Amino acid sequence: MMSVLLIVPAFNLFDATLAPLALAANHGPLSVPTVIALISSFFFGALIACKISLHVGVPSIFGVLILGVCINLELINEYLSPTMVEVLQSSSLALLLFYAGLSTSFSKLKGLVGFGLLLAVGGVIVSSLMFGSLIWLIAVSLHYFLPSLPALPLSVCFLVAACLGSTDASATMNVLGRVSGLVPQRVKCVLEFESSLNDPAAILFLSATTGVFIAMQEPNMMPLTLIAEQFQSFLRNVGSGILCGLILTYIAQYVLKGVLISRDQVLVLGMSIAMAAYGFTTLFGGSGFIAAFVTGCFLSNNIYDNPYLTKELIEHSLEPFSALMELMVFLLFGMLFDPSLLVLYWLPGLLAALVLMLLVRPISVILFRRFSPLTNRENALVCWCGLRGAVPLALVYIVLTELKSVTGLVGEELVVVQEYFQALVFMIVVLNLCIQGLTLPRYCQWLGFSPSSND
Amino acid sequence: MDFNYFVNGLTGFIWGLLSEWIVFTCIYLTLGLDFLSFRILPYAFKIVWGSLRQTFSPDEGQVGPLLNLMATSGAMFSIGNFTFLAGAILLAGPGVILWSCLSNFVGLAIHFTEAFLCAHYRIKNSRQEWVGGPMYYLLKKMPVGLKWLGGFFAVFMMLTMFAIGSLAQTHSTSHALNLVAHVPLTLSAVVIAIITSIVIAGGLLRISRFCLLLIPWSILLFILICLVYIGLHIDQLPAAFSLIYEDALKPQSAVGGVSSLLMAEGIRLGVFVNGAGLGRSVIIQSSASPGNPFYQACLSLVVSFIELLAVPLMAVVIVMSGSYLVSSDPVSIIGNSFDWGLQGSSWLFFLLAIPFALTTIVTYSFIGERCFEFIFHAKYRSVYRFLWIGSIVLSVFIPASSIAQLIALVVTLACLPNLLGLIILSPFFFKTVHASRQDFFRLNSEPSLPELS
Repeated sequence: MMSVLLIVPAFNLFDATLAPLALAANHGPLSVPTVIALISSFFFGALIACKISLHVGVPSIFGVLILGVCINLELINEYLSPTMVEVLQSSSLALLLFYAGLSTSFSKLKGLVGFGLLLAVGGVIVSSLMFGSLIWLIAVSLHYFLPSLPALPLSVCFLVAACLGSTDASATMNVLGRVSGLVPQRVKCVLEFESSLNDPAAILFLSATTGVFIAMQEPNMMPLTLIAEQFQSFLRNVGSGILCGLILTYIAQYVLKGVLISRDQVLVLGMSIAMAAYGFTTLFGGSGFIAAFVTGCFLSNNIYDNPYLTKELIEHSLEPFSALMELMVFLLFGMLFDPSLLVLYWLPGLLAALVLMLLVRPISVILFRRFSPLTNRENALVCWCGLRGAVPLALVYIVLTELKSVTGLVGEELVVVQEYFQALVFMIVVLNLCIQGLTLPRYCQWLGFSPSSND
Repeated sequence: MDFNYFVNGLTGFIWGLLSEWIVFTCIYLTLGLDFLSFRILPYAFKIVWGSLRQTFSPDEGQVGPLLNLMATSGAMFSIGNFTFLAGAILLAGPGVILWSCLSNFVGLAIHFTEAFLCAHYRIKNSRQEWVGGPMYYLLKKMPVGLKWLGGFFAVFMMLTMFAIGSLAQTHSTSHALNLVAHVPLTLSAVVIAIITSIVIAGGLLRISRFCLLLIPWSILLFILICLVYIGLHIDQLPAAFSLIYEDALKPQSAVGGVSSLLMAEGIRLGVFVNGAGLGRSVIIQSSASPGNPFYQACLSLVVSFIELLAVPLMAVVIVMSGSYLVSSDPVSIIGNSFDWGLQGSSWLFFLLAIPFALTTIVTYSFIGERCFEFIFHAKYRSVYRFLWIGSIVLSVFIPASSIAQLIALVVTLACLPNLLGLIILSPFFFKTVHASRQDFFRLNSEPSLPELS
């Protein structure tokens, strides 16, 4: 069994997935070769799903998500313990953020850094606040007309909105495929910069929202003390995250310079740094995801002028692994998601997805239009390029564990809210990927971008 | 909601964050320096020792290396260090010593960095004196939107100096004299005020000479006394060490990361005692000759290292005596442990307290004066000196608890901008140090100071 594990390159994923299944092998009908064969076929299937979905014109990850839903093995659900899911989701999220940090290039974005920052940070705040209240309105009015749908507490609505705060540029580029040559280079840059920077922004917004709502659950304490406490923990998250990121950057550079024997080991270093950033920083009271992002960001933007380190070296070594992680997040989410929930919750999901695409994203872009160096046409394109990716889905499982303390609900009510929450996020991500993915190329042409306007 | 509640809340709010951030910054700087702050120590001692007999042109600084060393030590060593130490042991247990030693040890990197940057960014004021300090590098090198941090730092540094220097020192000295020799409070305050006014009127030169007169024998005597006490009770030493060690690593402090009370208290102690992250003694150093940043960084390392060794000695004596278990007042804890060391020797502590208090008052007045100059102008310094003397006399009428509250708050607020500055300036700093360290750090040859362009 160990030798099998060693052969598998992505030992993290396989180790974690195998352990519970191996348990099943002892009790049930699954033997180790069966499990490995199953996993391999999942990945084959995922690759095929990617190809098919690109052919249809939706982002490739959409296919993986649907594949996951189709697999939905009861057995796997049974043996994937919640801890295991959390470990997988957290580590892949840490890696995705590390990668996002690595690909954040301040130098490539001449003159657009300000707008990119504003769009990423301000956009997350504005759109999450707006989106949260709109979801709440939808949920309340639907509850009024269709009593079978539960009313969703305001806190959960804001958590849904906060989860969906980060965008995914690679999904956008993925869809644009053939027509991506038409999109002006600077729009691409803004989109990429925004999407990598709004990951940490969304996570921070999420932790702030969680803090505020947890504080509201405790009636005994003075409001000022509570707000101060939450504000302190928020600042600690950010500050300790950044400082730990700085420390880890230095350690990473030291290892890169003095310890690595060959370039092949860069992947191992990258993975261990990303996970160390998450693990150690969280232990020391900071936000591990921020630390992972900061580490990646400093490593790539190279604040020490280190000749041994090229941004490309790490980025290229980590790229396949990051792709695998992203794929796994989608597959896992799909596998853990119960499609029967959609029977009940498809309507609020549809409405929320439409609101996100037609109202929230355009309004948040238009709000910052004053500061935008882009033309109106380019801004209109940015409005429709808010595809959601792996980060929201990975965040769902982190939020699910906190829903209890945020809402103060227990028992049956809590389960209902958790199911509603999952179904909403699932519907929004799926519809968002599907609708925007299918229409983006045409929209792009309709806006009149031609190869000549490409600068 | 009353004012006290607000002040305590604000202090707790910032301290909760700062105690961890300081450690992270220290580790970051240590790593960034390639552990230079430890490796360079022997050479630092060599260089500082070799420089003591040299003379430099007055153009390079107001005082030479020897007087600089004395004034810096005067600012670093204060009786407050020992009372804070006793207070922290009282509050968090003996384990706090280990954490404060560790934080001070990694904190050497901060001293190195501060002294280097201060000397590098010093400028001449309107009286043709060299002035420097965190406020100058904050003003000069911070990004455009953050230049106000220099002023912010200067304001709170000056308040810190007033709180620790004039108020707390005079307050505790006069009360101690009252306790031991029944000297009237006002009388001792007025005497201290007169001595201080004579010394600070002579500027840095007279302040340093005053320190030269008092500091060397006080430190030596103090270390000697502690060693004698430990020697007299050498059989209890292993027990004390194991107590410190076990208390520091007891489960409640290990769980919950850095934010546990013990570690936070230890780090806070490190900041108060050693001034890590506060950037106070470096303000004196930047007025001295030679202006070479490496030299000043070495001198800062030497002084903080001596202090790093001296303060735990006192802590060990306190733990061995067990006096922190019986009394609840920092001063009487130290007095009792002196009595424990040698029956009836607590007067020695009060004898030692006076020179330490006096040097602290005069050196802190100089540090505060530099901050005052930065905020207003060098020509108003007589106003500042008048305020300083006035606060000395007034201090005996202010309750000790208010002074302690004030200290905790202003120290925190002065620390924050400096830390931020150190982090933002670190890439430049690392680059400069590593570019010229080859000249400086040769293993097999006599060390020499690199010249920076």
